[in-house]
Amino acid sequence: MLTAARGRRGDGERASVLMLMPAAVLIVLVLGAIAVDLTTIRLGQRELIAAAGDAANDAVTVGLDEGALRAGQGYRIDPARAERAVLESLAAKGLLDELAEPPTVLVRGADTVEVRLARRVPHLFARALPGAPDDQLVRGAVTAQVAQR
Amino acid sequence: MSTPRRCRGDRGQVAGIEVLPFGLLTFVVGTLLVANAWGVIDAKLAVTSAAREAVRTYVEAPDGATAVASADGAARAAIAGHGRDATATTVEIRHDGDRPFARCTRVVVTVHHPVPALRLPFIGGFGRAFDVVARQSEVVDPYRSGLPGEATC
Repeated sequence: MLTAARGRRGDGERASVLMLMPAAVLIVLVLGAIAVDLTTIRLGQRELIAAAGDAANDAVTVGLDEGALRAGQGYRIDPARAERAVLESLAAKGLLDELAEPPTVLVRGADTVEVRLARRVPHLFARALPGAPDDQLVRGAVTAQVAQR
Repeated sequence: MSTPRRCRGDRGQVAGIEVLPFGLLTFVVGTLLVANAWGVIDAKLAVTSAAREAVRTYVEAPDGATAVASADGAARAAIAGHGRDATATTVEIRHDGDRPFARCTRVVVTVHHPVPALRLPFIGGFGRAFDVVARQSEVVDPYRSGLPGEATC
């Protein structure tokens, strides 16, 4: 009788199926939360790259050294003017206070400006997990070059 | 013989039946939470693209009146391109220092788009949770052609 009872207990799988369903639902929700968090990071980086592009685009035109141009020395970018243009562009977007480090403005040659930005993008759901990072550092770098058209 | 045996055993039901409402509640609330978060991110992608398109169109326009109409149209086209209702979108265009449309003028374009509190597939959205906002800024090229006046940056 005892052997028969143990055999019957092992045969039923209906309870296992019921318990697996909430676990599967939780797994789907966690995967969805991970997808949302990763997309948030990607969105933050995309915004940072767009801001760097706009700032570099402004710097490469506003940063022209007019004195050198009128003196016949050709198109040359004034590093101070270029940096000021970058800061004004970032301030107008409200991004300047959100940067993890001051923006890097590199003038390459006579007509090229590179802008590098870094920013911390907060997670949405991962903050609820103990031990998981609250945010992630993303970087963006864009180079702009003057072209006559 | 098999029917009476099936009715006698209820151990499986006792072990699992209490998790069904809990699982259902977790599923509904969790799905709504993740779906709403995704809706906000999706709207943010759309308004960021719209603001960028609008400000690029604005600074390359031949004059001020054309610039406003073109930028507004570009923003709404970008929103519609993301599969959203562009009539609910608000586009604000501001010049830094209230300067006119001219060389060196910094333009700030802000695009607002409302996100519904609850959005269901095939049915649409209900309520209005909050506005998703994106802001882009550029300077009208001081050395571009087609604009009168000098560059005073």
